[in-house]
Amino acid sequence: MKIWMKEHLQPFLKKPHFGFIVVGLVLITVRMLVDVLPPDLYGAIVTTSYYYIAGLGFALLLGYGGLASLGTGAFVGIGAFTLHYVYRFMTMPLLIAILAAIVLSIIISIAFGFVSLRISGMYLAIVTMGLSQIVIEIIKNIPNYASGTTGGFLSGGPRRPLVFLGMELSANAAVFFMAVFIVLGMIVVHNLITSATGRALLSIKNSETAAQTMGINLLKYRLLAFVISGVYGTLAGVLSIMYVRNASVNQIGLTFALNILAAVIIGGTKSIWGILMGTFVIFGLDLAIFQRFQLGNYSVIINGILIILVVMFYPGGLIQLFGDIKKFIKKMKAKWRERKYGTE
Amino acid sequence: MSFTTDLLSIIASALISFSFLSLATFGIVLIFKTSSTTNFAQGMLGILGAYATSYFIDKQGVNDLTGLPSVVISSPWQLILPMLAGIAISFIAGLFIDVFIFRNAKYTNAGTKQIITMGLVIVITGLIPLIFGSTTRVSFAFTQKTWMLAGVALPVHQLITLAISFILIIFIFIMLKYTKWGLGVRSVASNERVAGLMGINTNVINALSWAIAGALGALSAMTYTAAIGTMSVMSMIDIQVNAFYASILGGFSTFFGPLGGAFLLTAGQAVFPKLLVSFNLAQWSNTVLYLAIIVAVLIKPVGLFGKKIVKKV
Repeated sequence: MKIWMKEHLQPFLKKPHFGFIVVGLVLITVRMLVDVLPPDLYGAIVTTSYYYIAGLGFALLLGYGGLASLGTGAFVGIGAFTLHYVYRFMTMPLLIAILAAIVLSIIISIAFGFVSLRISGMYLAIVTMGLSQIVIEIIKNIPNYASGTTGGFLSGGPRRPLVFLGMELSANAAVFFMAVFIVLGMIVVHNLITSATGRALLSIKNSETAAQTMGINLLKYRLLAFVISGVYGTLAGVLSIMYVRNASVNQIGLTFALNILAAVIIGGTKSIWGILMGTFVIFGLDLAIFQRFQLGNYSVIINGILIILVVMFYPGGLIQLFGDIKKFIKKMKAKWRERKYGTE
Repeated sequence: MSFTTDLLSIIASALISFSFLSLATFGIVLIFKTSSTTNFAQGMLGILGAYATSYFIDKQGVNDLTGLPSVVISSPWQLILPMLAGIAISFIAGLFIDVFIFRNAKYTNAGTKQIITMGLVIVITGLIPLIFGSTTRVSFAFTQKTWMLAGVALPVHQLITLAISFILIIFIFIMLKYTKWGLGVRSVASNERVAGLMGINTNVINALSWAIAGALGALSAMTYTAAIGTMSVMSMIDIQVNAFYASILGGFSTFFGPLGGAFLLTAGQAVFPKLLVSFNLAQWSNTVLYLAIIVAVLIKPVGLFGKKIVKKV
């Protein structure tokens, strides 16, 4: 038994994938505890978890590709509104609606990727902001697509409850989908960034010219980064409409894109765990913690100041904080040892 | 409607939107050049000044019957002094932002600076209801009169705004070209470290740029909110986003490029609905406009009026 644990269990526990699965399990536990947990904390955890997927995709773009895009909102919008349209008005099964959203987002993200080949830096941020504005305008203007720009499953028109494999899904059931997609998403991103693809993206970020000289295909990797971040954003949108049962074009504009950017930068652009923290700070902290103290408008201000302070003093992100704490503990341990056993 | 009336009304509406947009755009360009970041808080800085102006105007008189502020503007000073106060508040706010935040974040990367400006947006959004007591306020126009010129209605408020912004922008251009401050701004824009080595006090230049951008934003916000008749915390978002598009359309590399871009953008805003309405597609005019801007930027990535910067490897 002991040998089995040492040979099989411990290596498995040490693998990063184990941590990802734990996140999924925690999310499912949270779903089970829905009646016990305070509703705003529950809401904060769920909101964090679906926007975390968008953040993960965006991290690949920003942390590894070095492409500061402000178009995340467009993909979240594509996810939410495509699911809504295909599922409700074309009466397709749920999985096909999700697939349709993903296919559409791949097509659009390729357009984003081609733009990024010609424009870089701050200009790219503004151009992608324009592209996402175009997507939002199109969503607004296509009749029925958004059923009056704020439509959800509950408002107006023919109602169609969410059904998956013959079971009717409640809003909370979407949390199971989130758990599955988060675990898959984390594993895919982890595998990508520890493989040749991640190194290629990093080399492009550091110097396009040098990367091309080494035989890295700029077009291929840029498009890949955009497609993955687009698909992740779309999944976030799909999950958000499955949980919230509503979507509004006002929620996916510039402010949202900036929030995702902030989440990724606050957490640490290259760290899977850091982004989880960053997303919580941006989307969950206010709801879960500040609201409790009845701070009113002060909570907004505190949140803003917190963002500025973290970005200014922890340019590597919150994940850096953990590194610092670890170092501090190590130092303390050494000191303690010194006191106990004396210096060597 | 004849062709000339159409043309005149297009030019008039383009110029009128240009008057608000040019001020906001200039503020954004100034900060982009000196602090090398896209300032998402530009609109918020302006709105802060506009709220202050509205607050000071309201302070001048309270209706005895209802207890609500109701001001009758009898002399122009009743309007001008609060406006100057509002501009001063945005000026000081801009100064503080640079001194306390951006001076300490000078050598971080561009994304970090963007997030700082976003954090500022959140902070100011929270501050405004705390300071001024409400989220919406009344905005005040210079005058409600309208002139008719060859069949085109021209609100006098907008004409005054246009005149002010023209004078201000020409003044700033002269300053940029012929004064020591202007020389400092231009050198910091081209390379901050080298400018510092050459003996320019880059801290002062940066702080002043933020302050001036704040003041321009305040003027833009005041006149724009008066023109649209309402004022809320989110009023300036449209202007600010358009200012970004104008800046990339014209190209950030020169000071006049973004202003040219701003004029083209407002002209497009006036022309496209007129063209598309005959095909019954008027609601798509914004989409077409944005597409046109993106196509233009894709063809000329440095902007229509931009200079190409040769990168050394």
